[in-house]
Amino acid sequence: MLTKILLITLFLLFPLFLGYYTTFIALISIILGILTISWHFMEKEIGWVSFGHSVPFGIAAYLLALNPTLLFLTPFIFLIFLFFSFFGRRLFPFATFIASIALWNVSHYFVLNGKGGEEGFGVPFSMSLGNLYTLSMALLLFCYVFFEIISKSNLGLKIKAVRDDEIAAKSVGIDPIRFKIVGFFFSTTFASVAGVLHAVSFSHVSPSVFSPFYALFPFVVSKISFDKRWACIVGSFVIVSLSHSLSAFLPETHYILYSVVLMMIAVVKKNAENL
Amino acid sequence: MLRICDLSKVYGRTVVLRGLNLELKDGIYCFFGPNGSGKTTLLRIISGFEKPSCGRVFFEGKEITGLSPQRIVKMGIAIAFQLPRVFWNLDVEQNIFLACMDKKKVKEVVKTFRLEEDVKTIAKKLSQGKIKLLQISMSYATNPRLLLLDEPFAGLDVGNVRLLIEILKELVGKKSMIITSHRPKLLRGIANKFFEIRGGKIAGSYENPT
Amino acid sequence: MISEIFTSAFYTAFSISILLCYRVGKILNLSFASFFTLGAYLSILNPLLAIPFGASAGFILHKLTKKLSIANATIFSLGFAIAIEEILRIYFRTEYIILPVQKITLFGEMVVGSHAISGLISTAFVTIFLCFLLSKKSINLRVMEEDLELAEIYGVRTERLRLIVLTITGTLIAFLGSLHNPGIVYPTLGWQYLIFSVIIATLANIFERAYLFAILFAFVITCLPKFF
Repeated sequence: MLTKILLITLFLLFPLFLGYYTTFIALISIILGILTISWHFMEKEIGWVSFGHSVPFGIAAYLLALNPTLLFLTPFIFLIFLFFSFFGRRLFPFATFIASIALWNVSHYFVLNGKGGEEGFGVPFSMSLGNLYTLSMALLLFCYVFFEIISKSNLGLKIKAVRDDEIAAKSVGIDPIRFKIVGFFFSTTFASVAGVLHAVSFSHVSPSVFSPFYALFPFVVSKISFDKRWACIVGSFVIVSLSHSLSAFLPETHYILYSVVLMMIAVVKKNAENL
Repeated sequence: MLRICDLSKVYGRTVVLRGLNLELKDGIYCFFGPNGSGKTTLLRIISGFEKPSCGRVFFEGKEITGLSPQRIVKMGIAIAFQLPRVFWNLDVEQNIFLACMDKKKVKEVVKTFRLEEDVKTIAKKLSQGKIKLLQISMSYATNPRLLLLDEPFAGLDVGNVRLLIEILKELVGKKSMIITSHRPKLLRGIANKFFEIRGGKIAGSYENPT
Repeated sequence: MISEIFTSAFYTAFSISILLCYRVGKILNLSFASFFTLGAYLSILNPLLAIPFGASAGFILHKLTKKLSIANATIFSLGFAIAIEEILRIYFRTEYIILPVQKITLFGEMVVGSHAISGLISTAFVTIFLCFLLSKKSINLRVMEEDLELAEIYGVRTERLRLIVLTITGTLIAFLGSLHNPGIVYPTLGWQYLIFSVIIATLANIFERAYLFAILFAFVITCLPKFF
């Protein structure tokens, strides 16, 4: 694990010595990397595929923009996912996706009727790009190490047990709800951290934080990264860079990639129970 | 050890258990009877996976009716289902470890249930017989005072039946057990007493069924 | 109130289409969002173009998802929806297009003309569908809803029925998109209609007579705010 961390650190440090624009693109990639790793934990370890990780991401961003003291609510965002989990594993991806789209639509009215302008709500404080990059990089590394350790711990093993069979878990004395809550909590908390960093980096929060770009980004990145945690960071850089570099010729390129990945995954894994 | 008072279970219009009364001391008991007679339901109620329509269950003097399965496991009752429920993407060692959270105990259980060769095998890659053994070993690993085995011989080939009987014989005197089976004869020399269940009631009890 | 009735008819048709795809076609058809948008964009050229395009989109979706599980078919439909939206975005090259809205007076109430037409088309669809449900021919549909394998055992041509359901509902949604002029057209237009209809369909799906409850819920949800 140490070698991987060292390599990731070197990979992340590199853009700091490039121009402002490149560093900014790398910063966005890092933030979305945190979002992807939090999503990856939810899919691989907890066994719930979310198509709405933009929900904790966007809510945390909005809370920061409205009033930073409201951020104390972020640890409770997992309750939204816990509610959707009652729909069952099969409907969960679509329930979360619909929720994110609904929030995307609702937030337009919210922004216009609230204090926000056309660009959304302003964020009350700012940081220099260098500081924000260093902070985001540290948080990404922490997120990566945290989920690696959790996955290999007894807690992680119990979370995986609940993922595999809730009845079997009960029969050996493991409370499925408790470990599901713990798993959701970790995942949504890191997604919220990514949301806060995103809001600070752009200095404003617009309804687009709930858009399908953020909702589906972790799924697509994780799949093109062959479900490897470390590769998710590289995958995040690839998609963000591709999207920005091609935006001049073909706007919203990432969506074309999204649609291809979604259709391919559905066809390739046609016999899989849960994706 | 286990006391069951006026236990009934109704599903819609179907009565599965009708006012069952039972008092069991330490030992091994076999419940047999035709399909739908209420054997599995009885075990599921004792282990907390079903709630009775009425009646009460006591274990070592404490009422356990309606408690969650996790709580009941911690009180000392473990169940192995007829259709195996294991952690399919974890290996045998991890499966058993989750039940006891003790590495020394895992080694002991693996040896008892002859799973030494498959310790690092992922559960979903095991044969049917091994999966059944793994599930029973997981229940055993929780260190229960009462082990409930629902149709442990169902779906096993002759070799695995022999192996399971051998293991059960080794557990005689060490663990109290309630075993449901269509084939009570297999439990001769293992069970202390045999109960016949018919229509949700105890139709008879025998020291040795013919 | 007339406007609300048209809107409720529109949402009833949309929710029934979702229910049909889900219960018979075994797919939560998220592509409806982009079928609707496709229709809305085509209305700039000619509203009737939505019919062949909607039918083709439904047909293609059926062909590509017929062997997939519900979950995978739904994921595919999401990818398909995004693909259609992006094709529209690339083809039309604008973020949004503003369309003129004409209002007419009906029984003394000002109503958006295109909403009245889409409401009437929806009412016609719902009526025809309910008549079909009451007929003996609907038995195949019901068997397929209950159990796909059983339907195949009893000789129901499930694949053909799925094709019909996906093509007809695809055509309807695209046509409604071309008629139901909201005044502005943009690539993600269809999602808001889809979300609202999915909520209605989900509530209705709890009940055995889901299609009838879809009518009730669509009416209650769209008309109730009028009374408060």
